[in-house]
Amino acid sequence: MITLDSADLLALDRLSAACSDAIDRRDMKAWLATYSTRPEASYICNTRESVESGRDVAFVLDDCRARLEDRVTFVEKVWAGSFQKYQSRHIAQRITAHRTGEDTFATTSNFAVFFTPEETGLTTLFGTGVYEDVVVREAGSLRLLSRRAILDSTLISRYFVYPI
Amino acid sequence: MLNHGLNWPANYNAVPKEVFVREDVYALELERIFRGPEWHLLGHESEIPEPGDFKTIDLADVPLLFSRGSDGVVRVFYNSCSHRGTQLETAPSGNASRFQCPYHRWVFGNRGELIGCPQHEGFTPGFRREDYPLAQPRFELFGGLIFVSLSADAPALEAFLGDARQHLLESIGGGRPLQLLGYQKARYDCNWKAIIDNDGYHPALLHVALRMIGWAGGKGEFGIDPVRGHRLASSEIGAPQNNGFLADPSLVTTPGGEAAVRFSGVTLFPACTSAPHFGTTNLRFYIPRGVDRTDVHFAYFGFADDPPEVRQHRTRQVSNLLGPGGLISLEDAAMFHRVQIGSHTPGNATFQKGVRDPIALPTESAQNEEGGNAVFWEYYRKVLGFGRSRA
Repeated sequence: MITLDSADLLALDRLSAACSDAIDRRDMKAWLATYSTRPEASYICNTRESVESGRDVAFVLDDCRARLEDRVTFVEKVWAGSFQKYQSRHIAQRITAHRTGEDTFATTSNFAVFFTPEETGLTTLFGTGVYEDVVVREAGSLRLLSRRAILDSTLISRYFVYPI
Repeated sequence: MLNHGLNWPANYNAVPKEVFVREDVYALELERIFRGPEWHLLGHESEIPEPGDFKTIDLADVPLLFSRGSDGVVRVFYNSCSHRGTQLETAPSGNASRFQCPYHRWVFGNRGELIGCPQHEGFTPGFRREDYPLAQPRFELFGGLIFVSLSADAPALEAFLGDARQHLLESIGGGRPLQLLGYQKARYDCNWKAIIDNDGYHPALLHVALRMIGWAGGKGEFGIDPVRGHRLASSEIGAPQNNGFLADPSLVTTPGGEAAVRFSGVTLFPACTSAPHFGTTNLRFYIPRGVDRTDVHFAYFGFADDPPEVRQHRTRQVSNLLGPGGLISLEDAAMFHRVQIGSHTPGNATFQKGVRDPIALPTESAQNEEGGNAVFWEYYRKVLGFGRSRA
C-alpha cells in the first residue's frame, strides 16, 4: 500500500496555499506556475447542479495547458480596465489526500471564497464548494495536473474574473 | 396618463435614469409587464426531453413548473400545491412521475392531475379530486420555445412575436432538433432593463477581445418590431483567422470548421434573448429579483444530431466564450452594474449612435447602432403609463 507521510501532506498544503495566494494577489502568472506544464493540465469551475445532472458546460473549462495560458491573457490583456476591481479571499481546508502513484496524489478540499468589490467595500461570501485535485511532482516540486472547483451555488453573484 | 412623478423627456433618444432604480416603478413593471398582457420566454422543450422530465423557473416572483408528462406532452404549471399553495418542487430540474406536496401529502401526476389527498373522507361536501389539478398559466410553444403569460389579455403568441417569428426560428437552428448542453446562471446586481437595453454600438468598443483575435462582426440586416421594439439582427459571421493571440484558437472556431456561420439574434420585449454564437443556440432567460437584481440563465443547445466531437467543441466553446466569465461577455455584466450605480444620478440616459431624428420614433436601425432601442422604450413608456413631455 502506498502511503502518505507528513512531508507529502505539508507539500500538498503548500501547493494549495500557493494557488490561493496567487489568486488573492491577482498574480495570474504565479497562479499558472502552480499548474503542471503538461499539455493536459486543466482547471475547471462548475456548479454542483451541472455536475450532478451530467452537464459539462462550466463557468471555466480550461481543459488543456494552452487554455490555462489563455486565461492569463484574458485577465491581463483582454479584460483589464473593463471590470470593477475586487479582492477575493480563499480559505481552503484539505479533506482527503491519497497517494495514487510514486509521484501523483489525489486530494479534495473544501473552500470558501469571500469577495470585496472595490466600489462598495462590503465583503460577502462569493461561494463555497470543493476542490478535486490531481497533483504531480515535477522537477522536485508539486504541481496541479488538474483542479476541478465545484461550487455549491446554483448561480454565481455578478461575474468573476479570477479563478476560484 | 399618469406620470408618477416621473418626467419622461420629449426626445425619443432619452430615457430617465430613475426607471432603473425606483422601487415604485419596479412594482408597476411587475403588475403591468410581468403579470400583464405580455409573453415571456422561459424555456425550450429540449430542456425536458424525456417523459417525466421537469424544470422549475420563476417568472419574476411567480414560481413555475415545466413538466413533460408521461404522455410526452409539455405543460406549464404554477409550482404551487392546489390545496394550500405550498411550493411543490424545489429542484431546478429532474425526472418525476409524481410530485408530492410534503405539507399534507397531496400527490399530483406529471400531467398535473391530483392523484391522492389523504384523509379525504372529512373534506368539504362534494369535494372531487378532478377539481383540484395543478393550476396553469397561459403557455404556448413556438418552435419548441416555451412562452408563458400570466394574463388572459395577452394577444396570441404569434401576434405578439410579429415579424420576429422567422428570426426567432432561425436563431435556434431553423427547426433542427436541439439538445441541451447546459447552463450558466448568474445574479447580476442591476435592473433587468439595463441588460435588455444593451446595444449594437458597444461590442467593438467594449469587447477588446474581438479586436485582439481579429474577429470582425458581419455586416448584416437589422430590424425593429414597430409595436414592442423586438430587435432582430442577422448576418453572416466569419470565424477569425488564427493570429496567434490565443494559445488555443479552438475557442473561436466553428463547430464544423466552416469559414462562416449564419447569425440570427433576437431580443424580445420585455426580456428575452436568443443569441447564437458559432451556430450554438444560446437562450437567455431573465428573472427580475428586485429593482437592482436580475437572475440570468444562459441556456446552451447543440443539435440532437451533432457528432460527439461537435457536442464537445460546443461545450468547450460556450463555457469559456460566453456567460458571466466568458471572454466576450464578462464585460457586459460589469457594464450593467455600472449603469445601475450611475442611474442613481439625476437626468436622462441618451442614445446617440444611429439617431437620425430625436423627436421621431425610429423605424430602422443598423447592427452597430443603439438608436433602435427607442422603440422598446416607447412601448415600455406607454405600458407603464408615463406621459411624455412636449417637445
